[in-house]
Amino acid sequence: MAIDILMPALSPTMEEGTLAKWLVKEGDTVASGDIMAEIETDKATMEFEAVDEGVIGKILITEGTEAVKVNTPIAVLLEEGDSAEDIAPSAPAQPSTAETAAPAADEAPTAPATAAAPQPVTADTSLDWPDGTEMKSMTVREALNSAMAEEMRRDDTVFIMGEEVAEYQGAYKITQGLLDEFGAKRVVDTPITEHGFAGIGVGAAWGGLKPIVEFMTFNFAMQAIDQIINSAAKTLYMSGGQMGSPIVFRGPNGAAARVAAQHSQDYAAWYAHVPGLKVVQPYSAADAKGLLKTAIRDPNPVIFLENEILYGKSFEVPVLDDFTIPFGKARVAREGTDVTIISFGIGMTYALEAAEVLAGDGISAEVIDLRTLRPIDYDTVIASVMKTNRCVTVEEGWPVASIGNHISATLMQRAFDYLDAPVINCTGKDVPMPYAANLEKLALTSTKEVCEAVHQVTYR
Amino acid sequence: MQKVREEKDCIEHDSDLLLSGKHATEDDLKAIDKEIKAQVNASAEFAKESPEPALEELWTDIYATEMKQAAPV
Amino acid sequence: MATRKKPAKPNVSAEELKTFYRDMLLIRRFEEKAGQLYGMGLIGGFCHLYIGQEAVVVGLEAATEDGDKRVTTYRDHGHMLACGMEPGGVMAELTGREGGYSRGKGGSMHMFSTDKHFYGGHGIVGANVPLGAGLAFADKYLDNGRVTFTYFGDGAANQGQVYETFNMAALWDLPVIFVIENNQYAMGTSMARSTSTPDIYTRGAAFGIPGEAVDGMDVLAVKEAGEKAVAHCRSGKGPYILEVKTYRYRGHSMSDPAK
Repeated sequence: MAIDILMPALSPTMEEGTLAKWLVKEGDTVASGDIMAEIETDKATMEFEAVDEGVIGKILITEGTEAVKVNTPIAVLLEEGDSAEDIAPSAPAQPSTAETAAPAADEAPTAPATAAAPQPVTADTSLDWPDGTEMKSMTVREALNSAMAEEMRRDDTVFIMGEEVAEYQGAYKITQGLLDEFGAKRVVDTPITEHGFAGIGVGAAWGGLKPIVEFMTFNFAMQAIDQIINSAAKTLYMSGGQMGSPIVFRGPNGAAARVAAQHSQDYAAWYAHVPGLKVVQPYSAADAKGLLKTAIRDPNPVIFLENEILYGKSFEVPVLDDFTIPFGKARVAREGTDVTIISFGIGMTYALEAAEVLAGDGISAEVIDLRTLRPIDYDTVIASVMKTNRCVTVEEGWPVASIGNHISATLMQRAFDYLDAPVINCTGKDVPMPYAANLEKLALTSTKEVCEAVHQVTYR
Repeated sequence: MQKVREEKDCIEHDSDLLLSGKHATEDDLKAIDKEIKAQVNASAEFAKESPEPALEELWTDIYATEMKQAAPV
Repeated sequence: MATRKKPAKPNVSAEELKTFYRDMLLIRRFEEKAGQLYGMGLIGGFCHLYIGQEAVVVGLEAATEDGDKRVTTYRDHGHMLACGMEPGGVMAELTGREGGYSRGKGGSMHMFSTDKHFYGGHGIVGANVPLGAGLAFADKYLDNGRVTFTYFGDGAANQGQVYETFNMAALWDLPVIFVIENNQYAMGTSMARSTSTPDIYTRGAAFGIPGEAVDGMDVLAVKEAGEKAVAHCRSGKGPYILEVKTYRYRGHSMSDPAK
């Protein structure tokens, strides 16, 4: 059967080109790979190879013709058994539209949370553990340690890798004792090569294991961020649902004390931005333990943001054999009626302190601990603001595109009629973290700033 | 590159071995090529006929609800 | 036409030679067809063709056993066909349809098959190297005797994460075979201009990883080298490097001139 040879698209954006030179003529035999013509675009001159074998029956577009549109027939190829009579009399010079471009895209189904009118919300107010459960005091460090130990006992494929996690017992002693209990196969000291070991962690997750990758701080995870985002977060989607990455990336996030700009960045907003990741930043020891266990069991990549300053802080933790806290469920840490203060992680120290101080001023603040930053528990947040009509968010990270900015936009879209004042976002200052003690204090947000913000939104 | 294609092409190297060792004839090889071409053309037809994904698929496969890892060996 | 060198007597069966012929030809014809469909606008975005390099993956696949794993770069159509994935499923992914391996959501560079132990298809140069070592890490942890082939190019061989991976693979004796498909070009830049030392297979020496150079245009030589590498890894001796010298006949990708 005679085949039309069409003007090829030699780049994704090419629409037309010049047929600069024919390297074959009518009657020539061509085989796969033979160069038939040179085609010129504004970027380059490229060679056009034959794919099918046959004899050039007729040249339709002469050498030197400019502005030949992609898919225009430029010649006719006779295959074995064809003769010259098989060529259609006048091949059209118009581009054939038969098999080209995709059908026009329709409107994709719209995302939730774009309506301006308030929508009904159902906040999950269930308890994290049964009423009356025995409690005991535990540091955040101990809570994280016990979470990992419990999960490693429960599932042989869970293992830990990171710098100093094994023999040194953990840079911050979070993995203390785990090498002794589980051995070197399951508690693996890595060289100082975050990019490489993050990739190895993701490959191990694909291969059937459940890695917990510890970054000494999330500042160093920037070296590894391509593997976290492009290999872990996106692969389930790119593979049409075939390949998931059940991996936890954990470590301290945000400012410590006097460690200056390269060691103090808060990455909550960066990771919460990415679909495909789950992002958690606990405050209390109970939340740290319950959420880390959930993270380890989750089939998706989880960014588990801790805080060095909180490691040594003690909280009441339930005494239960197996207790987890689900993702996407915020916690009302303090009930109130006049304003909603939303925070997470170390921001909660400022939020809770401020609520105490404000109570003295006669302002009743409701404090919400988001706990999960992706997926955010919008319902609990909106239900609270529908009650109090005012909102202040508190976080340590930088102000541009902060978690607070996102909460503000959501409240504006979904609870506009319930707001009696603009939402104020208390954040770290828009500066790299300074070393001097007085400047560092100023760079971070504070209880005082939160109180001032609440006075502003309550107009008292 | 043309020189490499003519002298060193990996497929021609293999066919030379088959022909010189009398393990196959030119016709045998042509028949294989014909089969392969049919297979490839069939895959191209399938690829043209298969519909584009449903629009709802934009929102799926972002999070796994169960473990998706290597098939156990 | 230039004269062909007289081939040496091979040490393999006629059946095997025919299978290799068929397997390489399938890749060759498939890639030519993909190039054609790209020219017609049915395939969009990136499309990196394997034409010329067929013997590399066909030869190495002949050295694998069931359950062995492979992971490669974005020039992945050949690897998928060679490990037994369906041409229809690959082509339909290239055209972005629901019959494709990733149901149209990944495209040329992002296909997987847990069934055939093919773990992508990766778009970021060098990223698949630690991923392959990670698959090998899991196999060693699970003690299942499998090996992983991780394929990358001479361009990727300059990436830092490759050396981080070499270090850990050697440190932990991971059963991974690093296959460097040296087609002399890192995208558009020749090896001479991008790579300071030409013998890439020796770069493992710094980490104690044995390596060798292989003629990638001879499928039998590739198979032999593959078998040697597999034996080394499967016996627990750690990683191995194969620098396979080959040629890519077309440009880096469909938007790149061949000249």
